[in-house]
Amino acid sequence: MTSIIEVLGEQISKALNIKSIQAKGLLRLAIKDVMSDKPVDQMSLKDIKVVLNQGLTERLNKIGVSNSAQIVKEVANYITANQSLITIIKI
Amino acid sequence: MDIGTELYYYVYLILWCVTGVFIIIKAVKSKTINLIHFGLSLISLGLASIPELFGSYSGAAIFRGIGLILVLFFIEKTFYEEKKSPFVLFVICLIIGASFMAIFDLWSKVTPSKLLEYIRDLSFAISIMIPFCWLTFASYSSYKLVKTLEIEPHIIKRYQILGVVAFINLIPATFLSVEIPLAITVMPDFSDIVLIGFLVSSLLTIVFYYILWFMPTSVKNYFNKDYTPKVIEEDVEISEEELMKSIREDIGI
Repeated sequence: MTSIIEVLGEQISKALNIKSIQAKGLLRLAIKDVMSDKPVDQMSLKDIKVVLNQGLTERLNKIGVSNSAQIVKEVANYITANQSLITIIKI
Repeated sequence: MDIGTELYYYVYLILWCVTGVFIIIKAVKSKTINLIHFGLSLISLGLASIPELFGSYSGAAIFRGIGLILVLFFIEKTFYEEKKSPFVLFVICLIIGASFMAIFDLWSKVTPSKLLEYIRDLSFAISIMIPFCWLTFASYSSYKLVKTLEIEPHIIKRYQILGVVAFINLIPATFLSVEIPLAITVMPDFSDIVLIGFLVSSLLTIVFYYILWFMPTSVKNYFNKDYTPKVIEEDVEISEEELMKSIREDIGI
């Protein structure tokens, strides 16, 4: 079943040139860091932006990715453009 | 009011209110707040039939205005959050449109005139066109973006259905905008065609709403029949440190 993690994970995977499963794992860690136990399917666009801007940025910095801000910006722009997926995937 | 028109209003009232309630229940269950706006809009548009049954188009204008503004809220929250949009402009246009509907209805009752009735109907037609043209545009634009993604086709189909159903809502608005000019000139029976147009588009809208918001598994499977999910790497459990290390290695840090 398609989830927002799949969709965002795919984008992170392309941006970082890593395996999709690694990107999804990284995203799950970022969600856990800033949203603790909030279920992914209950996250709004604002929540996702917080996960990307805080959680993912921090994770990328920990890994040592030099252009983390650029990558986060790309993924954030992507989900803003495709924000209707958050609703359509949920139902 | 003839029996056909009266029946139409009853069918419209029941179908739209019941569907609205179902959508709200779905929205609450799935915690999709923007969908609550959509469910409420259906209820408000359905309730507009009650004053209409008593011949009060001005009373109906209030419910219609609220219902159509709620559609705008749904579009804004679903497609345009944190993006530039004509939302405020459209809300103002709808408030003006609903006010025109009410004012020109009351005026035409004091001073019976086909012109005043036409302005009332035209205000209603334009008020319907604003949110549903926007919804058609928003659905189509999003469809163009998501159709290339590797996601289940039933998700992509929902965008098409939403666009089609929004477009269907433009049909009665178009009929309404030409009803009086045609009825007083070349087609005296055009009002009957308008009524049939309204009934058919209402029924189609409801059917599509059920497919869209309550898509049965059989329909999902049908849309997904040619879809082969991308081969997913074996989901092995690894620790946080191992994951971070493997990413570092893969990107060469």
